[in-house]
Amino acid sequence: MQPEDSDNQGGAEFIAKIAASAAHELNNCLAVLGEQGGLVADLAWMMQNGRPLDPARLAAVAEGVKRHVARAGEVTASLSALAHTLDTPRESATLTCLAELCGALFARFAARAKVRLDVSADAGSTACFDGDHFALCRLLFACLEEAVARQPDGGEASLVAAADEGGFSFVVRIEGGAFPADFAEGPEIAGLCRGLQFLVGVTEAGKALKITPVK
Amino acid sequence: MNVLLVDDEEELVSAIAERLGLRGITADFVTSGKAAVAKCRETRYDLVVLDMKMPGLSGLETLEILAADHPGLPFIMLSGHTEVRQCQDTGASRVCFLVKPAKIEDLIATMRQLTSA
Repeated sequence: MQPEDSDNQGGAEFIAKIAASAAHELNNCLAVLGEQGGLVADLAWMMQNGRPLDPARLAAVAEGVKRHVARAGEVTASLSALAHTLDTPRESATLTCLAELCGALFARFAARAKVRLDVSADAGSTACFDGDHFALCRLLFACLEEAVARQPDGGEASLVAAADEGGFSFVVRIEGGAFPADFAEGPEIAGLCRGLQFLVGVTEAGKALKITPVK
Repeated sequence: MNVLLVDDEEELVSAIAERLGLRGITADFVTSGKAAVAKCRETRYDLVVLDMKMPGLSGLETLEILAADHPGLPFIMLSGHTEVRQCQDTGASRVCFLVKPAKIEDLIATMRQLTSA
């Protein structure tokens, strides 16, 4: 297999993983919306048959509908943003945007692992990243996957986009456990780093990954 | 009929429980496999409805534990992936699979089918 084939396969696997997670999330939203709709129909039928309708109950159902429409909207927005990492001008996305996109794409995976994921950015990370956004998302996602795999249930992980003089970094930090010292040597991470001209270093006694462009 | 609904989507199971209640079926709900195992040890149910994909204990793992604890207890498994509605007899338990989201009428019909067998 040529390196390019391996990269295409890795990209396809990444998309499939995200699509499966998004489909599951959207299906759950639709299921909740379907039941809320059914419940309103049930309440209307009962009212027609003499049972008084509780306005507070109806309002609660309406709030639930709005909440799950918003939840589904967030899923489609992050899917759309990921799709456009391949075709929008590269200078148009800030470090903050990319960190938030990866956080949104990864949110369900963290929730399933019962790990609290915090995504933040410092003031300087409004700078734009003019490299391959899709590959960067894959790299950050792979780092987050490793972070969650190292966490016990109820643990915490964070992704921080940071900028300093003439450079920037992303830091993935975990509360419990530790990253293996040779994490960046794995074929997927090494391949992504090569393509992006990035380095992934294990720092803070194994508690953090620092993801930086090669200077 | 007294049933237990198990799904990590709390607003989904609570709405299904309420709708079943309006149709004369008593339904409790919990949001994890672990909680389902504990709940079934304190309450006797005629049937358990399980979501296949849950964090922690999956639906199938929960089914295995519950089937061992309560021989003969029937189950309905809800999955986003099931394409064909099917039922099977595992020997210890009867299990039917339904596509999620399932219509309330289909859910009730399957409940009646499993509990009258």
